[in-house]
Amino acid sequence: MVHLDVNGVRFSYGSKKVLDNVSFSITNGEIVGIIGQNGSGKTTLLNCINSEYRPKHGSVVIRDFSPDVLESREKQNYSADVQDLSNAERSRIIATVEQSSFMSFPFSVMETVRMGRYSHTGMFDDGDEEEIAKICEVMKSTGILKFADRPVNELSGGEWRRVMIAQALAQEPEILLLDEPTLHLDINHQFELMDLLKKIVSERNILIVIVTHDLPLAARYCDKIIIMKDGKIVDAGSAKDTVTTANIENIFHMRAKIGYDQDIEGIGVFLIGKIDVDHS
Amino acid sequence: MTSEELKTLLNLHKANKRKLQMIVAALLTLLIVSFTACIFVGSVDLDFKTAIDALLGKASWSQNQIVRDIRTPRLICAAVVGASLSVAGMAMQALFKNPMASPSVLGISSGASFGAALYIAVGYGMFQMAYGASLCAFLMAALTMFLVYALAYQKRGVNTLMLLLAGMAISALFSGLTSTIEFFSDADTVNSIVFWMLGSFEGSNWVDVKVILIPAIIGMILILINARELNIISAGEGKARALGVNVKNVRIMLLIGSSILVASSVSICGVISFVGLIIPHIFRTLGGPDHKYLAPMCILGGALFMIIVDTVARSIMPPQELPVGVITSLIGAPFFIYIMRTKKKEIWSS
Repeated sequence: MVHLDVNGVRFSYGSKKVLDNVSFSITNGEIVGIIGQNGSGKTTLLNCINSEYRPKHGSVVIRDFSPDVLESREKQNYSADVQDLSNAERSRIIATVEQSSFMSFPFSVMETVRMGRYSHTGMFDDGDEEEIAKICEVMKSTGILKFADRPVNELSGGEWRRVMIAQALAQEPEILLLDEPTLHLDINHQFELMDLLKKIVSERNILIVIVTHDLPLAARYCDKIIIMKDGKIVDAGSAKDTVTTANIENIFHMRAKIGYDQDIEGIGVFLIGKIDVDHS
Repeated sequence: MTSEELKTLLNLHKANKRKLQMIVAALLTLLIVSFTACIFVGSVDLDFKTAIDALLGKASWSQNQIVRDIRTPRLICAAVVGASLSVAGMAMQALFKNPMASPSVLGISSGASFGAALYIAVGYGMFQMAYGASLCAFLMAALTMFLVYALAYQKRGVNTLMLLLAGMAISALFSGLTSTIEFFSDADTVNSIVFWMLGSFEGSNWVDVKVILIPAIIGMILILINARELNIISAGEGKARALGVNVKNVRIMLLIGSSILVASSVSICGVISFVGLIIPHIFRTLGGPDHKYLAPMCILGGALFMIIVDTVARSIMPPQELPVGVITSLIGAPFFIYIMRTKKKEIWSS
């Protein structure tokens, strides 16, 4: 059981307020989607959660993580502010798949995934059977085993995204954060990826948080949804309760038909058209 | 998971490891063979038996002198300098996430030679100390390194254009400053400064070996212990941090390590360009970018390259000597353009 508590987080770039008193609490075993329009503060929130950014006010606390991740076992309290964890400790709890990432040198897929084991291995570990077995497992579950020895600069966008997810899983995190995981993927790969995340949650019982502006996909795949606008949470709850015609009209300024759809066994979102908003 | 898949992956890993170990072993053998062979080459011809006798001190006085006090220390200096510049170049390429980075391209060598020139012209008169020139070279190399890093490093990573332009500007600045010192110095001082600028092992002796060996070992250790981190840091510092690397410590160790290596090289033989660019590139193409093996390959390969180039430099038109820096520039500059053309995607897309 791991809990992620975001307590009154405020963040600003210079004088521009980006996050304004954001609070929520989520638990493992779920896919949580943070949705909102461009500039609503989603990615900034993600960066506050993984401690890349330090909130100006408030805190991000992880409770009940596995005691094994800590460097000194003296800490009896398995709850910590992400800012207080060392890089190595934090990387064993939280893994982040960034929106875009880039390799300067042509490492093989396998070498790239193995980098995820960094904080679990020492300087002289050179890939013993146990380590390779761990890599093999995550590569299998992300479906990238068949091109294990390909250089990463020869991969397609979808393949590369899966390699990054495998690398994140190799960290054996309890919380997996993904920033726009389906961006730039074709429809087929978008669904493949979301199915993969669903599988990961059920197999590993971890907490997955995705940031996305893809409403239909979020409505279908996320167990919980947090809707953001102008740096504030405007609605949060189950997909059924948050993805509503009213919310989509008010927040996204779109007319939509929404309802339970038998074919997809979930919430179907059909976007009709833009609503002209009177800004005066 | 079937054990079949794991077996395939394990074999893949082992085969790759074996291939890399083979390259390292082959390089080590080649280095030892070339080192021995190069002792025989020079303006004074020595046959095999005489050379061995001379090495053991049993030949004539002048032959002993040539082999033991001229050729051997010179070869050691060349080997250590080649190794230092290559592995420093490798570390800088990972740190700047850019295959074009190298001590000479980024102006670190110019900075170091300015430091040395400053000490010879001004410092020597004020305070005499052992290794004074080396120390000044190191301080300037480190300063230049941090300067280039600060100039080129932006929030989103290293911008290649900024990096190369910063290197060019800094290189020009320090060359100008060194020329200024030359202009105001007397003839003797100018002679010794010109020596730093040209890049040559002419006159390298056991004192130079003593000067370079310890800093070179320290610098190499600082880089070698960070081999794993180099792999990860070349994927971006944000990523490295997320994967658990203590980026600040690693960065400092790498910057200091490469500064020590460049400075100690410059302080015994002046500026030798492009070695730090060519060697890492060759071995990255040959054995892949895993720094755990790339680092030893650069050390051995750099040493091998430099003793061969230096032997060519001193024997191509005897009794005259070509400065070794001239040869590396002649090879290196076209190579630089070649990388720029072929690696367009990797270089400019960040």
